[in-house]
Amino acid sequence: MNPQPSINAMNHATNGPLSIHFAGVADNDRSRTAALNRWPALLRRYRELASLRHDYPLILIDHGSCRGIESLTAVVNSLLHRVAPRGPTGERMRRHLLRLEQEIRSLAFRKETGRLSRLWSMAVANLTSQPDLSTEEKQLLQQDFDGARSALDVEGEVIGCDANTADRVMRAMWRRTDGARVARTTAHLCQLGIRLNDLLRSDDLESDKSRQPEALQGAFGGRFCELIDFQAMSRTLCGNRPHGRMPANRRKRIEWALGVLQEQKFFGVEADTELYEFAFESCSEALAEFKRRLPRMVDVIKAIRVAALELEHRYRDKMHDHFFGRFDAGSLTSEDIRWFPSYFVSLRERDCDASNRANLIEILSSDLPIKLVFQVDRLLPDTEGQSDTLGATAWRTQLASMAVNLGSAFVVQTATSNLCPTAERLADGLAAPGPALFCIFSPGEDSGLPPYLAAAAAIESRLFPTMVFDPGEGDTWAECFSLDGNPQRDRAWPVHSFTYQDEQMQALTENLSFTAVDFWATDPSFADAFRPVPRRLWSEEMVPLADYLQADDEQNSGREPFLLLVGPDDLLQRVVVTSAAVQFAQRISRRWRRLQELGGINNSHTRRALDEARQAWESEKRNLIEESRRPSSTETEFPAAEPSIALRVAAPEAGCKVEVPAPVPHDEAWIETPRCTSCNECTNRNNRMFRYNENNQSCIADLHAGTYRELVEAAEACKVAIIHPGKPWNPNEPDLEELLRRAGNFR
Amino acid sequence: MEDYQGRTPRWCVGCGDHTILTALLRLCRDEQLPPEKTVFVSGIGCSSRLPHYLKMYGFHSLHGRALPVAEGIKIRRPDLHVIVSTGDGDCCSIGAGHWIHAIRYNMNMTVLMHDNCVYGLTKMQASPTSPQGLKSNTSPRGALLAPLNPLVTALSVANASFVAQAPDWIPEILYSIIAQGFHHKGFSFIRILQRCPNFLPNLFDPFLKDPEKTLVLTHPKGIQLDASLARIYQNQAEHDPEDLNRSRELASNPDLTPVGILYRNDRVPCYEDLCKEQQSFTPAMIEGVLNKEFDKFTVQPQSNGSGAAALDGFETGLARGLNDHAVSAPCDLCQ
Repeated sequence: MNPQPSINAMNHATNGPLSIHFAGVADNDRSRTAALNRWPALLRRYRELASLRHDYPLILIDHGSCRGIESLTAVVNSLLHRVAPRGPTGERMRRHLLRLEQEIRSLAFRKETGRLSRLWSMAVANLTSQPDLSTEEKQLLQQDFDGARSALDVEGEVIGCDANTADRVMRAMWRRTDGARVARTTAHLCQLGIRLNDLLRSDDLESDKSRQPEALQGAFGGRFCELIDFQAMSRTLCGNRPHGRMPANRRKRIEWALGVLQEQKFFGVEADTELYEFAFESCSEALAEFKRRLPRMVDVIKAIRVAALELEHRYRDKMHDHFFGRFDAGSLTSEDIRWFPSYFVSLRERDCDASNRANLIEILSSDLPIKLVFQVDRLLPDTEGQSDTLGATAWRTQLASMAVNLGSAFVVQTATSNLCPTAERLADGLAAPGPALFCIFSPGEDSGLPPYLAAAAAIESRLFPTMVFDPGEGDTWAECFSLDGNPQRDRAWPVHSFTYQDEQMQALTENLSFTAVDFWATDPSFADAFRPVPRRLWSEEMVPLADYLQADDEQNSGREPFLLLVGPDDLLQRVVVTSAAVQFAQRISRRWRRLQELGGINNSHTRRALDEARQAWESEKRNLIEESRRPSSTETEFPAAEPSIALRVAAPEAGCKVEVPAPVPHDEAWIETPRCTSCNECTNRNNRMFRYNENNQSCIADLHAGTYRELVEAAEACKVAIIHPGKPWNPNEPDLEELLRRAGNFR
Repeated sequence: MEDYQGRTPRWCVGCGDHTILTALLRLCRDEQLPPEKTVFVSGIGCSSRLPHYLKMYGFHSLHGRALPVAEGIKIRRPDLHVIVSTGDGDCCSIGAGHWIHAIRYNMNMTVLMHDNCVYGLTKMQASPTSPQGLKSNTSPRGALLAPLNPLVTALSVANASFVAQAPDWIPEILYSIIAQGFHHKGFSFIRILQRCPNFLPNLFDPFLKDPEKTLVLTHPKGIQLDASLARIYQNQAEHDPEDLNRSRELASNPDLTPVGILYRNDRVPCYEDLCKEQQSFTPAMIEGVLNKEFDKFTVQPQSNGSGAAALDGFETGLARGLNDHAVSAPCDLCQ
């Protein structure tokens, strides 16, 4: 790139750069024309976006990936990892696959739509039909493409980056996330229905109707029917029928619950039911439908609970009739509402009227499971310098921040360029209970840049930073709020290196910041805010805008802020910006600063507390040092601190024997009841002396209900030796000496 | 516990099955198991009398076939608690094939193998776990072969998730292991060293008389002894149940009789979860699918209407039959 300033092409203002900065006066059309078709210097390298590997096109994956979307680049990288072996063959395949990826990307840029398999086939056909390829090269290409194709395990719709991308992606992700949950609920309701049906059918089998000859014959089937006298069978069965039919009110209740579950339109329990629609184009419509369906939701929840109680035979008329009789919309909990599919509303900010805005705020303040996708087409004010009295720009760019402050909704703000990196968070928001807001900047082709670049520039310039607020994560900002996904989050503006050539063809590198005004410069409708300055008028007073914004008014006195832009002829230009642009950048910077505070980055409260703590610590240390330097005036002796005595008991090593003192023998008979094996030996001998406790283990019931001999014999018969006879209580019992000797084995 | 007790047990006095029954009654009481939700399955043998002595659902099946019956119950009704009582002959001999694959399937059930090392009900024949040299009706000169080690066998099967050994003469340890096996999600195989006072009255005497011969495996993830038991069974070793290699080492050491949980792995998936149906089939859906299949063979109405009428009548009758009765009713086409 040749940055030689085109002195002849430029026409500078007669008042010089400084006056342009302060006055912002457009003085000629040639200057304006030249101001168009300029890009911020940092974006120059992305001019040929179609030939660069980036996150687009995206694939809306049919099955498998939990994210639901993947970039073509990631898919090809994964494929390369699996199929491209090390060595020359692998390198060749890598080259071929990257060419194929490039071809598919070009097709997507040329607005070719379709599934990945279709675009893959088209790209392969394009590449292998090039006339300059030899037969052998074509064969190698085809071989590598076939090998990769067989390893490709991803399929889905391929989409490019345009004004509709956000809607398509979010809709597909919502269907996938909600669809999985709804399928589980549907399966559960089907199970309930089958089991309720089984209850009714088993009750029917007790009925007279099921014992009629025709019914019996139908159950018997086709073979050997002529051998059976169904009339006699019916008479026999009817005569001996046990009377165990279900109470009428119970049957009615089960039939009602089954009817509700079968007729409801939230889940596809019955194959031919026309289900409710859950995707809408306006908040008002979604809210109205939710309120209209609320009574049906109440019925479904009641039916589910009644079914669960009936299936476990735990329904108690006295208690539950009263409870369900009063069950209404106010009784629904958030857990109940989670049974149902969520609602999806896709809005464009230009179509968002006052009624929709009011309903949007109502939804975000509620617990309703409504997922709102708010697509922003434009971030800048409609006219330069116009103060935002009508709040239009604030509504576009600040809606997410307002929603975060409401505190109850899951909020994601991002741009279409960042859909892939934030896919997990988007999926989290779609799966979260309660409302969710997805503010997505989705520029179209009219933004002055390719839509992908414009979206990325919006995030880079802090004009539309990525942020995620998940109220379910915890109670603190640190747990709920995140600025992950923004470049260089700890800086006011991201800084990147930029390399160019000077007049002597020497490569120079500078660090440039990408500010909100850089984004502003990409919009042709704001060309008036920027005036290129000829090379000869460059002066020491010209400072980069980022530095200008960091300095205070006193330091900035006499200075001129400039941006570096690159024209279509690849010439680097310095353009001075108007004071309105500077104020705009300051506003955006302040807004970003506040978000940083919430995200815990350079948090001012923390820094203040740290400073105070540091000062206190330093002061204490200083005092200690001074005290130690002062000579001691008295001979005070301080006794040395006694070491704390820790009483340690060494834990026994694994496998060693644990020494525990043996129990003290006593004279009364006793049984080690917890070790009893319930073998009936002792209870069979004397079930008045020995009995089982509540754990079916033996204990002494009445020692005097038998003789000492019986006790000793029971001890000897006990297989686990848990009976200890002790000393005899009747000194007149015969053969006591021998019994005592035998009892001595059980002390 | 009386609420769960069925008939009076008819086992011999001193039989270890009494202890096992007591432990199960205690489990039922402590866990408040609903009788209508619990099934005891058994094969044939003294051990397999157990379902008769409990007031629960029971299935006293064929010799060696307790496990396939239990698996069938579990796959059809995964909501039921399934506990299997089997013996050393029932499980390790005729039922060995089922046993190995039941371990592999890892279906959520608790299997108690009452190992008394003999065929007791049929009055003393050598079983696969009988000690070498045991004289019995089928081995009058002494059992010729070394016994099979059920623990080593169980630990060597793929997907084994819970293997334990418990003696019937230490009720606390027995109960603790059975309770942990019950709570383990998967196939819990517990070998219970069970005394047979009639045919092998002295087999386990060395262990009863000398607690030192029993090695109690303790661990926070396994069993822990209270002070009174620790006083008696002082030969303890800390063993992490998740250490498969050490489990195998302990199980295969002929000089040790380890007692406790040898192996436990909660991450092994259960077969009934792996093959859970993604969709439930209502009778209406089944009818729809069947009718769709039958439609492929439908004869189109002829000019006299005769050919189709019979088939149409059959289809209507079949549809009506499906609505009124179980789908399992046989029909001409199926035979």
